[in-house]
Amino acid sequence: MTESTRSEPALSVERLAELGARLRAEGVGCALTESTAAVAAATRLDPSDPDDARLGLRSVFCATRAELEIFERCFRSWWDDDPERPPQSTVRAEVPAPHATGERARRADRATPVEPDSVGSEAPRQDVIGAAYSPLDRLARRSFGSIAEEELREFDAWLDRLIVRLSARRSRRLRRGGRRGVVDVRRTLRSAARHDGELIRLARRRRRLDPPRLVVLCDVSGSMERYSRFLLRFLLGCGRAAHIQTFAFSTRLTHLTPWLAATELDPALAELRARGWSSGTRIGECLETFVERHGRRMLGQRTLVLILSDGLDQGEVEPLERSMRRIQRGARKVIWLNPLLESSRYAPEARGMRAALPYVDHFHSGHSLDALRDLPGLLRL
Amino acid sequence: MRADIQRVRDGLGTAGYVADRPIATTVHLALALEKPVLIEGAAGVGKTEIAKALSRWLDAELVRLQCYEGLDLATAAYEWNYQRQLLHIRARGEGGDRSALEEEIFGEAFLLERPLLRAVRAEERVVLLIDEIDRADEEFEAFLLELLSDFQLSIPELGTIPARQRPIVVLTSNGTRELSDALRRRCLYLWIDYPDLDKEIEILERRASGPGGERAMDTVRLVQRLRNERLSKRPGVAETIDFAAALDALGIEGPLTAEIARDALGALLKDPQDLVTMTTERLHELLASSPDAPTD
Repeated sequence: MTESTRSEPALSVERLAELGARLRAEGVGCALTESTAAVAAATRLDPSDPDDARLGLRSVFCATRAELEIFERCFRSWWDDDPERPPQSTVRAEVPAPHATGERARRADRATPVEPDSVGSEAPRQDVIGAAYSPLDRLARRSFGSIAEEELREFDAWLDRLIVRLSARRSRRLRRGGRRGVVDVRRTLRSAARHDGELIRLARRRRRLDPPRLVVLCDVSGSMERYSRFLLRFLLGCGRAAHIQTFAFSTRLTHLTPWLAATELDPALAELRARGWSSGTRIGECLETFVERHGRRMLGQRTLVLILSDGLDQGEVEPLERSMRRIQRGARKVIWLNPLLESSRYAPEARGMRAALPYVDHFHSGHSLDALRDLPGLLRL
Repeated sequence: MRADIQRVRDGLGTAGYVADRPIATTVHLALALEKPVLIEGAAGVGKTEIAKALSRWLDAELVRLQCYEGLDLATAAYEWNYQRQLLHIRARGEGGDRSALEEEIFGEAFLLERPLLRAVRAEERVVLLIDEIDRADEEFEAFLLELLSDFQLSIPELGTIPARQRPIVVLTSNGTRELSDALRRRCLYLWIDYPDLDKEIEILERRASGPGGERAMDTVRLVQRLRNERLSKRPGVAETIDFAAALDALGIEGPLTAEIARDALGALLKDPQDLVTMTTERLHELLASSPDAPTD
């Protein structure tokens, strides 16, 4: 481009650095590259026109839609802070921190500072290494709902052992497969060149097996909370953490994944409890929130959706049905775990459960260690 | 507003694209700073159209890479011409310097050009459209980083090929997957929302075959109200244009009624459930509500 590059003094490097610092303080990541780009951009914008500067700098500093809003707010106060004043006198407390990368800065607002669980998961695991696993053990069949606080650690230890066994089984499956696959022409020809053009060996490549993406929606209201805790712990333990998106819901929907990145499961759930989110259930509205906010990004043909709830809903049936239809159409498979199924007399007669069932591919209980053992099989595509 | 920005706005206008101020400003910066633009927004708001308009306005070739799951380098950037390589090896016969032979057959002459390599090797500046990047996987995204920040491609057998002319790079995403921070940080960011009433009417009227006056107003007002309804797929601008064309094809004169709209609704709503929800009665209500009623 051959455009004139007049640079006006009004948007000085100091002023831009301050805008960057303010944005960073609000969690909008401003790495060095953006600051440099902002300075370059400023020379191509009319510094006396607030809209020019706002729209231009916005596209430099922001990287997601969510950041646009924060930018607007920061920009307004920054612009109003008397641009005529010499930059020296506008030095503020928020001096740019040199190392705050975009990703970290953005995470900062998610990471609720909860004390990490003092009970490490290592210790109890050591305790049971020698114990023989028996699937008939009474623990395996105990319903999670009946487990007392004191027994939690014992159950966690059993859960860990179960996880180890299940993971081992899964990896054996992956190793099988033989020497099939499409011919890798590029590598084949390379080796042919070394042998005077003789095609001695066909190099092959196989399609990589990606684990499915998993979206877990856990009911944490009242009696369901204990079941949810074990399910979450189980799934996280299976080592699929990178591909799991976890949500907790009762009367509101909470995206748990960012929390779990920063803290242990139990403190995160305790925090939820402390906010009084364990009373009542509005499944329909929560699922609808999920579909609208996260559906496009998280649903897809490689996505399995796992919902854990007793289906006892206090909200409207219509949003539940509407969102279940959209979830089923967007996802590969929908699995609903309902601990009430452990009772042989249970029939899904609650209005909400009845409305949701037509859109569910697998309906299971998931109420005990034994019941969880079937899960990995279901979680394959 | 700086004159350059107005020029971009006018330029895109001559190419048939109605650019509002945020769009014009970001495009201006992309051209001036030679940075890629990442455009996000709902389906059908005109993200891809920006690249096409840029190419028309600047009279630059549009090199388009449509992303999909499983897109690999062989389809996106380059592939070796195996037949030629094989023939060349045969022609050389037995014996000779093998490493020299290997060097020969992995030379530029044996390279098949795919969109990314095309954009880098073009003599004239091109507009490179990387469409729906969210459909490609993370590995591909990582591969793009080199191209986006240094405008060059690395081919292991050959070395680095710098761009002859820096391409104007436009990436679009529908947000079906979270893009990496690294990718986002290398781009200018532009979020495009559904256009407001005036802008959408302007878009419709710019179309050669598009309707004008009352009909355009009615059509756009209905579409905008439909976007506020609870639909699983909200109609985009492309749908508005289709809908207007459908009304035109049906040869209907006079004001837009619910019955007529219902007949052509398939051009607007692409989800069976949405079509069921939007009954003639509901359309009637939407058309009848006061023109001054807020549309959002």
